[in-house]
Amino acid sequence: MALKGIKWVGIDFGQCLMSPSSLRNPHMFGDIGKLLGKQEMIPVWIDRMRRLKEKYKTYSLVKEKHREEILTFVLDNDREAYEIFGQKEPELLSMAPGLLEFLIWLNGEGIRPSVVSELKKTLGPVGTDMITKFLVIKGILKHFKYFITPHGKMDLDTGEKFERYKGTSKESGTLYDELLKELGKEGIRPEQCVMIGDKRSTDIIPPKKRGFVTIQYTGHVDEGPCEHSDYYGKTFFEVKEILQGL
Amino acid sequence: MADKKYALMKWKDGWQEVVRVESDAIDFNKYYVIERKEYFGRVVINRPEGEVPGLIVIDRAPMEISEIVMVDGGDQRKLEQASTYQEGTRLEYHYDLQRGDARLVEKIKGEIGEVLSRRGISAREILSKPALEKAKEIGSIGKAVHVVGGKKQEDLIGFIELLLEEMA
Repeated sequence: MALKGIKWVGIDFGQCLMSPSSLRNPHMFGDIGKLLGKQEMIPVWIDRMRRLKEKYKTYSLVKEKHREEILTFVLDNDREAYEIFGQKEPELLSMAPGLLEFLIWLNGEGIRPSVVSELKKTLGPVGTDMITKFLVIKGILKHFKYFITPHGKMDLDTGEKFERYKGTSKESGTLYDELLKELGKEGIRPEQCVMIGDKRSTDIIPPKKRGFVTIQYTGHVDEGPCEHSDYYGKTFFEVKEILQGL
Repeated sequence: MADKKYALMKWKDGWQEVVRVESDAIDFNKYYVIERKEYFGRVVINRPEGEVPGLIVIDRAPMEISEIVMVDGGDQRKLEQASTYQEGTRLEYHYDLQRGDARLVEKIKGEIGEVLSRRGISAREILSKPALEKAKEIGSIGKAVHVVGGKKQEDLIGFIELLLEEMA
């Protein structure tokens, strides 16, 4: 069935198109220790990483907001180990179930989705941040059109950067305001836009308040029902079925 | 503040364990249990009759191992998942150990040869270095040919040393 009323699709990154369930501490720190010939440090690093998670509640928060403590506390300032940690991370993360099939289908329908994410670092060339590095390693970069972040927007074909999103945020909704201004110039209305994500506060409530169709992805984190979620999908196979029905 | 503090835990069946904690520990924050499917591989190794079999426990992506070779023992196998066996909640995936000419060791030897040639050093020269210097050099060769010590760095050093001796 072809898509009728949908002209734009945005997908969140963390815990949505990217699934961290395959990134396990024993695998990650096991590889680092073995690569450096420091096998005896593996259980020590794993224990410290688990304690850091208890300090900040989730691994996402550790990695997004307290990453330097992985270097200073977990790895004892071992820069070589920290560098390997950064290289291994996108390798060990996996794609959400059904994502590749979904992207191929959506592209076939004439829509190249955008990654909409709260990138914490300044936007560099493709492959220098965690998110585009992941897209490159998994071979799915070509299926996406733009990378939209509070640090700017990047054309994933050309690497060209656009400053206009700077200073916006998903949670306040200012990022979606900018997005709608741009899409409006192309004649795309809010109800023709679909935002897919797991976090209600950033991916669901702000876009829904602006008229987007929202799909709450519950495959990794399930924050429970939300009055602003139009649909729920546990896999991207389900997300595809939802879009086919719109 | 006491110099030493301990967490004492008691199970429903009366079992009691004690674990030393940080001396600045204040009180308990929370307790939780994680339930998750874990996979562990077990390589079982035949030894002479009467001896207990050797065992290597694999905790890194065990379902993705494709080949195993007994270096200096001649046994080369390709792994092919063949059957499953269930006993209560335990599910085992059994693999066929297909004999074959994997040539994995020869490939690694070839790569070591290339590294030595690039670095302008011979196997004999490396083997004659003092122990510490030799270990460092061998560790760097291991990195270049993408082989790491699974349990201990000494395993990698010993393995590469064996190959270097054959190449010398």
